[in-house]
Amino acid sequence: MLFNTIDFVIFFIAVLVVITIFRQRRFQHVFLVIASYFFFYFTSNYLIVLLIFSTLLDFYVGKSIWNSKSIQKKKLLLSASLAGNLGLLGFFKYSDFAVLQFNLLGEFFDLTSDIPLLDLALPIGISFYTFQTISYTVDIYRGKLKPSESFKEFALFVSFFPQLVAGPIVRAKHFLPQLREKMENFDSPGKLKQIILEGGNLKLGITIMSLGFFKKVFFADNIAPLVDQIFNNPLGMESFTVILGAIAFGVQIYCDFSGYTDIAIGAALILGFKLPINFNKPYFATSPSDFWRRWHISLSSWLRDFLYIPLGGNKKSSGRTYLNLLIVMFLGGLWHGASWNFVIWGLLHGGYLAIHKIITNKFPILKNSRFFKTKFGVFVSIIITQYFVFLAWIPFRVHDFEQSLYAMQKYVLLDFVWERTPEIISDNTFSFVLIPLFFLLHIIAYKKSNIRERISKMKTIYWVGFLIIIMSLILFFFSGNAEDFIYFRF
Amino acid sequence: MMTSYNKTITILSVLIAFAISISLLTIILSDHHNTNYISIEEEKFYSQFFEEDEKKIFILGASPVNAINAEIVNNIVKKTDEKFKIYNLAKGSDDPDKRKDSLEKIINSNPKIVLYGIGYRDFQEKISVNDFSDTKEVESILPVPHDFFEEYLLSELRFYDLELDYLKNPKLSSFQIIKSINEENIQENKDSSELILDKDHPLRTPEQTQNAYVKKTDDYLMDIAEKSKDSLERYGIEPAYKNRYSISLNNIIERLQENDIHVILFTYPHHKYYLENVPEDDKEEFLEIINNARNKYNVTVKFFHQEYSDKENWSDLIHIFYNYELEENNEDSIQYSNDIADLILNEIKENVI
Repeated sequence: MLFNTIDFVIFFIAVLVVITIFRQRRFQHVFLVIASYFFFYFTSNYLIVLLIFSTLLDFYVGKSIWNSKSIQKKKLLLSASLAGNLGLLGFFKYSDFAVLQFNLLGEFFDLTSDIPLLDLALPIGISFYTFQTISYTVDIYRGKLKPSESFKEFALFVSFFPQLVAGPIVRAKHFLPQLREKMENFDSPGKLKQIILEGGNLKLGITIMSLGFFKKVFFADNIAPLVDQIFNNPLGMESFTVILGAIAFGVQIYCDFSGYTDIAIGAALILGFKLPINFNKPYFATSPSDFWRRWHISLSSWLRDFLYIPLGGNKKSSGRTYLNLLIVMFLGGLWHGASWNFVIWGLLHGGYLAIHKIITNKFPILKNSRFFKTKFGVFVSIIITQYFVFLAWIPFRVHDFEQSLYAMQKYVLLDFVWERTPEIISDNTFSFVLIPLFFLLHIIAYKKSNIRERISKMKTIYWVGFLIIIMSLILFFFSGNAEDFIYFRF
Repeated sequence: MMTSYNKTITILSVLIAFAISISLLTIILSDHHNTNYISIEEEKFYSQFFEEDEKKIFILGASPVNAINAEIVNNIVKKTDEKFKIYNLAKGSDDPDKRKDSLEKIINSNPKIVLYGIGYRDFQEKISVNDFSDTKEVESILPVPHDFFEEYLLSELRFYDLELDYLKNPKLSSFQIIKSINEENIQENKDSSELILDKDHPLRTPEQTQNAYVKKTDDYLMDIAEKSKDSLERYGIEPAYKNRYSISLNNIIERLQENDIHVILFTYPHHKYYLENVPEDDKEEFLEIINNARNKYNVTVKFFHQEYSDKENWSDLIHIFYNYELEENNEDSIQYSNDIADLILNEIKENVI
């Protein structure tokens, strides 16, 4: 079920109405679990069994790990959880990719065997909920989290519909206490809390959701035609067109993904749950590491805590640190999709992080430079960082290797040709105009901190005016087709 | 108490904002809806003064119908009666849903015959703009809740029954309004003599043909067939009873016949690589749509979609190549035009038009 459809609107209103009418807390929690499963089933049909499998596996493995005295047994149980979750993910997401590579290798060595592809559909949200449940069992293994006593509570943590299909990846230690009456009773579950729709959360939640829909429907979906025209086949495009396409796609994917996250966060907030923020103005990042502290924060922190740090992080030698960065970003790229273009994207970012570390280690004067602390210095850092960030968006968007390489060459080695670009802009005037408009609004949001809270605290009449403007822009520029969220495919 | 009051105010605010937004949308777009898919050139064409005794024959459809050479058809048909004149009014990306917008203007132009060229794409749900991924959709083994909603709850709100067409694509309507305001401003600035309609200035006459396409090789055609295979499987043809394009086509036929205009349906040529990739159930749905129209409205139907599939001269999988400035490679488009002329002649003969 896409967020930007009438189906979701009806579903969400129905959930709110039922939660408001039936205040018995046990019913509310069970109802939310059922509603979340229904939400998942709506899109994924019979593949709901995978969600159920992951939930059951990690609930019982988590308890067993906690209750086990033997380190060996704990390790074995953890391995079972990892194997189960990563096995599911690997099978559904990467088996055809592996088969394809095997067949290509076979062709290269003139082998006659050609293994047929399984042609599996990707279960929606699998990349997200498997990571979520892995974080649960690992935190229990590390002794940082006590397992949930209640299956209902755990099932709701895994399947909670606002964040089920595309994150944010929520940690159990942040979410489970929110289900309990006394949040400070972290160690003893106690009573489940009653879900009440509170006025402040309702208004803020609606504000955040409306901004999410605005980013997705008004910006992302309307910039998409320009991006498609440039990147569906960029061969022959001139440099300025490719740069325009890279910027346009950067804006599209940010608005699409952060728009989805806003809808998820807003919906959860209305129900009384706080989900972690997933974006913090990434296009104002001043370095590659700063970018990853601002983009898809729940994934980057997951990779840091469950991959980078176990590999040694930056505690070992410099060479090992750089290698760890490359490995983590390689896997981060692969997580996005079973395709070499995502791997290239990941490796590019890994390279950026490693090179940035090398430069700051070799030239500490740069790190402490007063210039980079000035406004102009910050501006220069942003421009340099974003130049590389938008370059990396090219392989993310262009799946064909030859086309991707061509486009990246055109991005880096300017040809200074200005023939087709005006025509492309003219064919997509509206999409083109949205790009500077986005950056203008983004700068305003950057300068005015907590803009969402400020909007939600406006006087009622101004708040209604804000909603009218947002809703009108969404409705007037809605194409009639509810476009997929890009990150639903991961 | 305060919390309840705040919640009530919040909910009311949302409802008021939504009501105002929808009202604005309705007021602004529904008024301009009838110009949604009509260009300035079409406006000029339909508002010109035709000769009184001229027996007009309009050919409608999307760009695959462009290859019909109106001059060739005209020369053949005129042998029966000098008063006949052929107008090829095909336009890119057209479909029955869009064509409905110019229906009244077509009727008011009083043609004797309307030929409507259709193909698979006219009835498919259109391809998503974000369709750059290779994700496969989940097959529905268990009951699908969405179908339940659509059939029992949303069927009452079907836009084509409630004359809420502007809600199907508000973005396009908005663009058309902006464009028409812009073009009106440009027209106002022009010398007034340019606004006098030239009666020999239709969209496409026997005297005007466009040579927009390039002939492609077999390898190229095979390559694009392979690339478009997933899209054909993903964006199929819905059953006739809920296919909005089929419903629009039926509305068009019905309205034309109410105004004593003869209607001929024909399926335009498709390359064999395209036909090989169309899912079987889509082929069945397509035939069902056409047979429904034929049986319900007793219209003449001619199938060309398979007849040219092995021919040599194609620009892509659904466009027969034509370029009348060249002497070669036009044999298939000429044959296509001749076949259309024969179709018209039969209709004239059988119905004594």
